[in-house]
Amino acid sequence: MRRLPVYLLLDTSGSMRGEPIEAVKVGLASLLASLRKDPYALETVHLCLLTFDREIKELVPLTSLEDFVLPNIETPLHSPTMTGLALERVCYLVDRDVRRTTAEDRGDWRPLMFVMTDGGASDVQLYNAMIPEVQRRGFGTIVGCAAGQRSKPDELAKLCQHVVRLDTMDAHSFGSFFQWVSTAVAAGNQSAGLTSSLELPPPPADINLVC
Amino acid sequence: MSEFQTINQTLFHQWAIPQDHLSCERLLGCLLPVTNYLQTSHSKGKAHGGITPESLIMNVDTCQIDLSQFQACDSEHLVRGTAYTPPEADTEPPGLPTVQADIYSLAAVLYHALTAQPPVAAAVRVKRGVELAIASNFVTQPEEDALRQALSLDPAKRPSSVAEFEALLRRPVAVTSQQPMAADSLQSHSAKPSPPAPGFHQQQPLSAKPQRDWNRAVEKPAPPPEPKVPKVAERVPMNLTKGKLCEIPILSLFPDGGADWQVKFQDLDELGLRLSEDKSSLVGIPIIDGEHVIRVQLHKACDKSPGPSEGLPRSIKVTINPDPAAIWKNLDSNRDDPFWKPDTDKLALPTPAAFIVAASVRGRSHAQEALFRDDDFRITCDGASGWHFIAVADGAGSAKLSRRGSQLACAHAIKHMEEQLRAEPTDEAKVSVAQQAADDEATPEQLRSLAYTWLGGAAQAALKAINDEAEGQEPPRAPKEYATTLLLAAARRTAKGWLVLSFGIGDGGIGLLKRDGSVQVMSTPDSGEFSSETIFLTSKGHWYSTEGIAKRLHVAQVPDFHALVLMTDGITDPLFPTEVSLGDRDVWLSFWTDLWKQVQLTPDNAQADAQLLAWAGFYSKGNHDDRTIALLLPNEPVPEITAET
Repeated sequence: MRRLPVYLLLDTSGSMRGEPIEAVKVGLASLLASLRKDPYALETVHLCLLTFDREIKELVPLTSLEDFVLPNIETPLHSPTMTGLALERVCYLVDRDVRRTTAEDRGDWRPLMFVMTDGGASDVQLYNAMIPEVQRRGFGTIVGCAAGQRSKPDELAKLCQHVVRLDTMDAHSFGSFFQWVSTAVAAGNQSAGLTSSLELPPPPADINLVC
Repeated sequence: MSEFQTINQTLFHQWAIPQDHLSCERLLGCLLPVTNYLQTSHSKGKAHGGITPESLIMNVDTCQIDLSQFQACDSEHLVRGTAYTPPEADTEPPGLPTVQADIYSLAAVLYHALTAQPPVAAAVRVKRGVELAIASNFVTQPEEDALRQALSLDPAKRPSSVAEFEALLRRPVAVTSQQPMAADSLQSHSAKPSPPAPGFHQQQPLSAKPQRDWNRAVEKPAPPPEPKVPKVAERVPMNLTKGKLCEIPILSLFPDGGADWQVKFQDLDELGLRLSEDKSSLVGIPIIDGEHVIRVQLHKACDKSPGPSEGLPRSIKVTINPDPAAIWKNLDSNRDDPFWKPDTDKLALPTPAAFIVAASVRGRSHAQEALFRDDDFRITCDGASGWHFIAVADGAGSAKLSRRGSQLACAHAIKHMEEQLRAEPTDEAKVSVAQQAADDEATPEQLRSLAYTWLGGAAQAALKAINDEAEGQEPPRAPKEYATTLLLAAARRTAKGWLVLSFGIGDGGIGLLKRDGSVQVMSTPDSGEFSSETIFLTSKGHWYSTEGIAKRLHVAQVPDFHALVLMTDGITDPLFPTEVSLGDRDVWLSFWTDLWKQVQLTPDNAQADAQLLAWAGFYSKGNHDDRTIALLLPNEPVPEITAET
């Protein structure tokens, strides 16, 4: 079975506490619900959910959409945003979990990654060092979501092919974002050339595509 | 009248609920008559030899062991081959009972009663060197140490008497080494037998364990404390699938047990679920999909008030996946599109020497979104020369006009090959393709050279046709919008048998299934690092060179064969998923057998192409690309191939 591995990285630093994280949870639930209506996604999409604040938690290891159960997501009171550390973990997980084509093994689809954060990385040095590492992992696309006024879309743009900015961190904004993520994921399993990167569907009107 | 059960039957419910776990000292209290009896008989030089949970019959009401039953289980020889048998009994004939053997068996019974599972059998520990593991959540450190000592494989290392064993078990816990209690221990319980539903068992307070209360077992139990409302899971910890049998353990919904509470489920009927007969799980075949809620009412078990009482309402979310096979849509593609083509295609072509049949079907992933069939094929036979031509092509899903690209590639590649049979030799070539192609005595080198000029030239002609058409569009289109793979084969019956030439760019595969069941792979895979990544006819840089063409050519000269098969990746991905499997005779055998079950591949079968088309629609999880297959079968009776050949 060829899988479409999808890595979701969520910022759970202190500033996400309260309404923002609740809105993210609602958004995630609707992402799962709408992907489950797509039979192709239901048979191929595998999701890995990572959260990052002071530490990196692999809340759900790479799991088929069929078996994916949304876990409880907690946010600590005060904590830095270790985005670089999260990228380091993603590289490790991709190396461990994603299958490449060989004579004896059948490769997965190119993995996709979605990073949502409401601020800048606290570990900027590691973050910058990990960018070329991440790019070596052959992601079909990496989408960044800069949520709220204090987010840093420019920083995300160094990592991601596409960055969207949400002006507010409410259920509506996150809902639109995750809805768009679901269409992007659905586009992830098409025949592709050796080098072509994934073309994403246009985002809905209330999401600002930064790049 | 009192009810009697074995000690394990009595303890069964306790094991299911961690915080109700029986403490060692209570257990020793229950077993007091037994240990007294053993000490007496040991002092008289007589060992028991048959200590197992079955020998310990308990009065359910008083929790007392029926000593007469235990005495009756005396055995002249040690009971062999159980988890309670000491290693020294594993002999032929079995060893005689000893004090040390009794201590081992007693410790094994205690181990089972305390941890809900028997210890690893001594024989296994000896043979495989398996370590004895003790779930420390359930026993204190002194208790664990005492059990380890009594379960020593070496009889000399065990406590010398039952009294010493008891004393070891009853050593006080050092304050610093106190073990955490079992509140979080559900995981270590996961290997237990199927758990009962909560609601019929008396709770023991968590704090009972560190306190030493030797006589508790024989005293009347203290009045139960006010029951704590059990925690209810927010969500069923597993997803269900509509139409698929499921079983949800009740304990997974009540993570900390549910002693003293009765649970009433609502909404089960609507979902297609019910409570299992032993009330240990929710079972059934879900009849709807989506996000749902199971409502739950919690009632105190001791609530004897007449009439329906209001319970505590709770709700548990549950996700029910649709059955993916049932939700595919089959939406017609747009017939008004300039390059529209039918969603399926098929053709059977009987020739004097062979039978060619092909089918092409739009993949479910395309049908779901009203997209076109991007695959194509073409099969022809040149009557005069006896050459058969087959082309199959797979347009790239990401290229907008790939359905046209695959069509052009097949048509023009074969057109070129046919024309070459009638063309005059070029200036640089001394002999024409027609002459080379008709030569039954050609050497392998000459055949490779023919394949290079003829099939390589056909691929170049196909690319040229695509470039020309793209350029001629108004406004002009980029050739890569026509991206397609191309697999080509030419075959002719010769004086010596059959000559087969092939060439391919991209994925999919060509195989020549021989009469002995072996397979000659006649394609060179162009696979990328990840799934469905390949090169296309339009990616000129990857193949348009002498080496690029040469390495993609294959020549076969065989006396006879079962079939020449050309397949796009819609077929090879599910059936021949790896490069290795495309050459594996077992994989081919299962493919061939399965195909013949549905398709009678003979020229006299007017339905052969329709049957092949139907076969190509097979369901394979996650594989829903367009599928095209073309087969050439020499006109011979088809003998069976078997796995032995």
